[in-house]
Amino acid sequence: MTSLLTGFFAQQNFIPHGFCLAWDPALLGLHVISDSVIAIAYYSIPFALLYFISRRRDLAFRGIFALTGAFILACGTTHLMGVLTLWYPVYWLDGMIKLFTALISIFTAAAIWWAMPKALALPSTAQLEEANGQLEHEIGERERAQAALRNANAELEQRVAARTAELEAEVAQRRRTEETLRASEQRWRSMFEASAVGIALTDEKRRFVAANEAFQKMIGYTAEELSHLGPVEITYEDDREATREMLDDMLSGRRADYHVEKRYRRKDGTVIWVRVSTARAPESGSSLHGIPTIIEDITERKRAEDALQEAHDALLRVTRLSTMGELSASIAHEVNQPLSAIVANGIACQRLLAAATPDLEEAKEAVGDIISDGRRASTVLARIRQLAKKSVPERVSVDINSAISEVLSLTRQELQRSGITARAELDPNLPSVLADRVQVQQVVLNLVMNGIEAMRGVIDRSRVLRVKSATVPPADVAVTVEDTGIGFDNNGSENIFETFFTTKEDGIGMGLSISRSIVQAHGGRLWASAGVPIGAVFSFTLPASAGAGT
Amino acid sequence: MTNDKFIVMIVDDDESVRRAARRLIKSYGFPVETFASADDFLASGRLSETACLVLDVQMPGLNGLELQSRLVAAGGHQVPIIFITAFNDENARAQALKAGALCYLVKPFEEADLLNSINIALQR
Repeated sequence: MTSLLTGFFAQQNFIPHGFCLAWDPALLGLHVISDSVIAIAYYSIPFALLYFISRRRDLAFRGIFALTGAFILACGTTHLMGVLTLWYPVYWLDGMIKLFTALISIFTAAAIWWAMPKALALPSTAQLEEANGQLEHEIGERERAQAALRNANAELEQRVAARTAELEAEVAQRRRTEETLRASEQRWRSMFEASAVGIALTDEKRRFVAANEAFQKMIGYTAEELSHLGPVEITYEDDREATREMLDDMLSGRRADYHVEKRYRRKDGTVIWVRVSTARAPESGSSLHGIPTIIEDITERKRAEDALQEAHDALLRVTRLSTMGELSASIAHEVNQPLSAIVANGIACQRLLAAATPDLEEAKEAVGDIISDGRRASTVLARIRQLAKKSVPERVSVDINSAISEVLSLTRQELQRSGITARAELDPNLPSVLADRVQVQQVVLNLVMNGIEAMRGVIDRSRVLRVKSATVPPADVAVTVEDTGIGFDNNGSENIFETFFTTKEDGIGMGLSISRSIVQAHGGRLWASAGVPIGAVFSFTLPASAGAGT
Repeated sequence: MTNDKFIVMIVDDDESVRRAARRLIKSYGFPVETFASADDFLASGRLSETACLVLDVQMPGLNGLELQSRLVAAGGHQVPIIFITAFNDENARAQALKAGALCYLVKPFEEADLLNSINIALQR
């Protein structure tokens, strides 16, 4: 071993390489410089590589770089040995270093070839840049997408917030509405309960489902008792059928409401008059279900109305009697005429029969006249009684012409005495009217008496009273009383119908207002107009029977 | 004394009164004629035959008092007039009597009064 090592550095057996170069200083210099420079360069390269590897930790094929460094370092050493061997013939050492270099070179070369495909597979910078660009583009895209997503998210959040606010507002509104409804419901309920008029609710089974206190008091049943009763059961017997029909109409929807005046029978059996107003309420969700009905007790009002009607009838009669009082002379005349004829005929008859040769034929005629005059007198009395008697107003078929004729016969003497020519122009085809005969006669009588009165002061023209009847299409009968009296100014034509308006010194001014009330109660009209060329015209109409219905 | 004025003329608008009066007066043996109105009587031209006029006061058209006035106004021999009326009207009575009426009878009257009046009239 020692010998081997000694042999390595043994120089004595070999000639220095410079010798081969003949020690030519130039040539030596060339070799020394070239080999030295190469060696310096070669030595510097591994350091560069080492530095590079140390800085680029991500470098691929680090092993190959290391091998290459070692290989170049070995190469550098061989060149250094070239310089050394110029003077020192350590060729063994030089050869061993070359062997080492050869080994590492071959190993490095093998490694490089081995790594070649992988190295080739490594992307180039351009490729990397392109990839990078693409990546950046993708990143940009993604960022844009993310931004859009963010925007969408933000918008969504905004919408959610807005909708939430809306819903909250809705809920609040609904709560307010519910509160309002509840308040309203309470208000209605307290109105229902505290109302002074009766309020009741009827269900589809025609039973009362609710009844306020006023109604319970009015009818005398408790709410509990009423829940087993319905509108029909508490109605007065005569009014039940109508009530049943109306209830049917309400329940079937044929009618939406009705308002009637009818009678109830209270629990204690007494009968009361009520005004019933009912209307089908739309489904309201209220706790008060059923057909609501408002009931007012109008018994007192009805009593007052009846009393008023009676008073009115009495007034009619009294004014009629008063008019007849004015006519008493005329009426007496109407009775006296047949009576005096009867007396005269009776005496004549006595004398005819007492004669030596009784004129039986003439006596028989006299008796016949007595009979017809007696009848005539009794007819007059019957008419007077009719006018004077206290009777309930009635509606019967009245022949207006005959009613007028009777009035004219009662007033005939009055007219004559006043120097008035009476003319009746009666339509023979006049339809009958549905009326109270006495009241119609009272109207005609009033108008005739007014006419007589109006012509009392007339001295410069004929006094004519014209009474006409006529048919007025489509279904009225008109009666006109015209006079040639003092008339009235047109301004006064309505005043004259006012109660207590009078132009007469001894009149009380009721005739025309009463006449008008009678005509209106018959569904007709009474009016006044100025006569042409003078006087006054009073007209009234009455619906003909066909039009009035029965 | 003969007189061609011998007929009792009755003027009354009421037919039954007219018939009864005619029969009554006739039963006493007087000749009688009747008229339904004053105008009818005037138009008949029978004034010259009239012994006595039995006249109603109230009549349509010319009434009794107006007929009397006409006859008075016409002058000449005045026909005796007996008024018969159902109206006891003092003014009418006064007017009638003032104008020369024989009497003014108010219905119902006593037939004796009428007969007396007719007799008086016929004796004139």
